[in-house]
Amino acid sequence: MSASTMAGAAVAVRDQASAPRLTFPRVARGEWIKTTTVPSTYWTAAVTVAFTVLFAAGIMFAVTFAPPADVPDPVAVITDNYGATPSLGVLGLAFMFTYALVAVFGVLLVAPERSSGMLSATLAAVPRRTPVFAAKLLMSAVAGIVVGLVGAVASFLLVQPQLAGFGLGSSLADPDVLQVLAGGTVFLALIAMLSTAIGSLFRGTAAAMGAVLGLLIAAPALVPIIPGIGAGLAGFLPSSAGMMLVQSAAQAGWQPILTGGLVLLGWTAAAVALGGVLFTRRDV
Amino acid sequence: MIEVAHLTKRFGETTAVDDLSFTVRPGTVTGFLGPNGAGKSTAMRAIAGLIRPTSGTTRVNGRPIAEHAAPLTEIGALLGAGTMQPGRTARSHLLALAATHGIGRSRVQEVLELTGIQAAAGRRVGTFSMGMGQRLGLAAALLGDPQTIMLDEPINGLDPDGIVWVRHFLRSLAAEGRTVFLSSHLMSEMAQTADHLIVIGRGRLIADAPMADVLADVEATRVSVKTPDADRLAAALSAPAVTVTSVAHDELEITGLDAAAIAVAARDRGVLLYELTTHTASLEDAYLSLTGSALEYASEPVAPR
Repeated sequence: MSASTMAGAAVAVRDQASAPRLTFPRVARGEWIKTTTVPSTYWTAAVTVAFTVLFAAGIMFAVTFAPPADVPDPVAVITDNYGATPSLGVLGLAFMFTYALVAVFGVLLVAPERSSGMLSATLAAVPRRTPVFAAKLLMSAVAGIVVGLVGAVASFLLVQPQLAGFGLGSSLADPDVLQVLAGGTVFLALIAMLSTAIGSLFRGTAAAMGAVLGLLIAAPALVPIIPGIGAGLAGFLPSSAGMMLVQSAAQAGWQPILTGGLVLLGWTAAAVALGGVLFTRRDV
Repeated sequence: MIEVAHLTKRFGETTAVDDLSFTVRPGTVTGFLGPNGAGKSTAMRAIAGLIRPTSGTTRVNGRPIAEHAAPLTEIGALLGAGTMQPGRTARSHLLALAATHGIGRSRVQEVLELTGIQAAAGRRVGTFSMGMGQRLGLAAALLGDPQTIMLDEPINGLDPDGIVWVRHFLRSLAAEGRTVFLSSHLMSEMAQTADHLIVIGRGRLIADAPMADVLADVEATRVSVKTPDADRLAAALSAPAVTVTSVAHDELEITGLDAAAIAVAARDRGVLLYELTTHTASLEDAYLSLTGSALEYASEPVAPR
């Protein structure tokens, strides 16, 4: 700890051919490091995948391992629960179980940083702020997609042996399967960004979680109860609309998929716009 | 260099900073003083771009902080304890901040060693003591090897060893020609560290002058005298510009006369003196007299027993 060491180090930093400079890829790298160096990231990812596989593939295993006396017609049980092409149903269910945890993760990318005061350090280093917000949205979407796809594909592959046994199997290369995977990817990416954007509006992690999960999980359960308009309104909630994206076009047609996707896109765009403006302008 | 021009910040009804203007120059250590709630942290956060001024501007090395291509190389800021997430290790915290500017692992290792926390680099920040957290914050401020360094209460929680180290370190940074700006409540430490002072109260500038001038301006020089004949001496010394206070039955405190004049007066009247001590103005006296009327939160004076 001496002045000469400091001066020597100073020379080293300044003489570098690539002098320090803010760029968006570097800001994104900073967000990546932040995401991968907190325990909550790994816990959330592990729980998401485990939870997804457990529930999406769960009924399948229950049917397979139940004694024939209890389940005389396993094919009927499977198609009742998962649809005519069960693999697609399993994928759809997987995405539906994943999205809540993707939302949680989206909030964790922004709220704890604000409540712990770390955001002051981050924004002192990047005073323009917008690159940080954009990088967080990107991180959230990528993480949501990766975890979601791992869970969905794992569920899919796990149930193929049983389904093949009943003559109901599919392959990952099937166009229908790819379409549902694509829909699920878009669904999770939008949910992730929506959660991060809404989460950024709040000062405390608990409030942020409450708002996001309230909108995505509580609202779809409560809004339909409103007399008269409830059922119609519920279709415009972000998660309810977004779930249309994981339906199979072959079975449901493109219209509900596209409508649902656009509604969710609208919500996400509005949240990102509002969140982005406030993130850039608010005092920290 | 830091330039603050007519900075005003209002939070709803409260005016935290009111038309504040000052310049912090390179090559000296500038101390930022003021009572609690005076607006020091608000002003510093505005300089760092964390707070948006209601009006007025702040510039670091000639431009507003957001316009610089590499803010961490222009100004390193330590703005309060606990600006880090507890679940992350110290090294990861620094790596994440460094990565935004493309600053590498070797520099991170350097600042860890510079601040003496390299042994704790792999530990979670939540396990750090306050002093270690401060050192980590200082390490983060130094990552870009900045021209200007701005510290809000940097010696909070540091042990005497750490306090002395910070003092020497800040003075050496200033000697290299950098701009050093720090706020502190510890007067004795500030008196030894700073060359120039900016004093604010209730959001307004009260003083902006070299340390020597601030100390000289204050009539806090007093002489304390111990004598068995206190009453006679007090009577002999009384004059319009002189204040004599009786501290104990045999002790007087006198302002307005120097020790030599008191000694002569005592000899002329045959008064015996046991003790004659001159107390020069301390920074604490100067500060208290400057900011006395600008206190946001004043406590009741404690009556001496």
